[in-house]
Amino acid sequence: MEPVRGTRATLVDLLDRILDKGLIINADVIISVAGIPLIGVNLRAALAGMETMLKYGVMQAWDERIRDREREYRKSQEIKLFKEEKVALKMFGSCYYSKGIYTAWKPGQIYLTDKRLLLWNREFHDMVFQISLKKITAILIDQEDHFSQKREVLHLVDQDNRSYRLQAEETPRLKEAIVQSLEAMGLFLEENPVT
Amino acid sequence: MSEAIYLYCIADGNEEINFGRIGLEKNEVYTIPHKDLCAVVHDCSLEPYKSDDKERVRTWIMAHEKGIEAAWAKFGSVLPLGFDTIIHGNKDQNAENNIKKWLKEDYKNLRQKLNKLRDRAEFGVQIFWDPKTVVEALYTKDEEIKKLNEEIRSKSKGLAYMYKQKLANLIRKRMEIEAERYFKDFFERIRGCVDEIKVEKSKKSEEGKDMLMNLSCLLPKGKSQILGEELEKIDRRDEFSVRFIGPWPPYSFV
Repeated sequence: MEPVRGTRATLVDLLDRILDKGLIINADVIISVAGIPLIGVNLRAALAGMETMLKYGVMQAWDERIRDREREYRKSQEIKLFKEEKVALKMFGSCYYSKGIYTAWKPGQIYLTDKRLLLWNREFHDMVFQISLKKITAILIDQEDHFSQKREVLHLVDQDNRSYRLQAEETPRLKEAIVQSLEAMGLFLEENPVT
Repeated sequence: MSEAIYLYCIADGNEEINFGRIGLEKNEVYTIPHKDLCAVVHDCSLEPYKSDDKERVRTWIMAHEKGIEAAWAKFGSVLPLGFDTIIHGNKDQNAENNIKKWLKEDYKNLRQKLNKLRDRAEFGVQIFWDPKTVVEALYTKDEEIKKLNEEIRSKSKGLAYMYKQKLANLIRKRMEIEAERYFKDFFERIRGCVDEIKVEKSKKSEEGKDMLMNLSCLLPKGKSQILGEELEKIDRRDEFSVRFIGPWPPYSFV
């Protein structure tokens, strides 16, 4: 097998070398911007259209394909809000769930909107918990044992005296935001809620 | 006296030579000697070469290469500089003196590199594989894949779907292992035929082929035959194809 040079296809490989490689001078007497050969980048932009295979590595191409797919997937998993419903706060959290002998803290993204408080699990496309703000009658933070530690848990009570337990990245901030939203809507909470 | 000096390469020799108007924008390319080496340059203004016109850029880059090639043919050993390396003057020194100063200060390093690269040229080796052929081979070769593939046929539609996903994952894993295995094998074989080797980033796939490896190899000028024979062996196999390119000045080994 004989090496080939001087063809249009090999030109790309030569350009790669001339633009990216060669001896580097560490001296303050060369024209450059902070030592970065911006000029090479500039020229690449001009050349980009010339050869499609010029720049990207295989891994990068794979990576982009995967990311595209992920983006697609995520779009399909996006939470569906009402028209004109606005998200006021968003943080990771979990909600206590029990059914029969099954109990668990189900994780997801907590959304506080101007209408609802909800917990959305994107991976399972599952609305774990939701409550209309109007139905909240009491709210309280309590310390609970969580393995060997204490953690703050938000208790909510609704009109029908059902209670819910939520836990968030920043539980106090979530509580503050809910209280503010309710006040903004002209709703008031019970002074001393019993949970 | 020019404001700035464009550098093509450092060459092994101290002859004062004018290569004529072969440079960028037909500038005269000449040497600035220091001790037993020299800088190959042309006089320019303080502005870097920069344009959105790709034909113009291409012509410049080819002129850059031509300047280096001329010095390479004449002196036998060169240290190429990247495109658009321009030395300017400052208040104590003009650009030419700045180059001389740099040659003086960096002399030992430059000398060493020039010695190492004497009569050496750079070659590019790119090995591609056809993932389709490789996967087909896996279906007949790999027991686990074979078994899984057969199981799919006996499954209900829902289960078959799950099994297909499992199969796809398995194939991907096997492909990675295959890629690594071939990479190592080829790398070792190529390394045996060259002075020095550098692994470059693989590039985007083309025409259904993926680039398995992209190498820069340093070997004695005109002695690429052994490497060529080794590459031929790889190229003869169905699933692989090889690009063997060069020789060029040793851009990747300075």
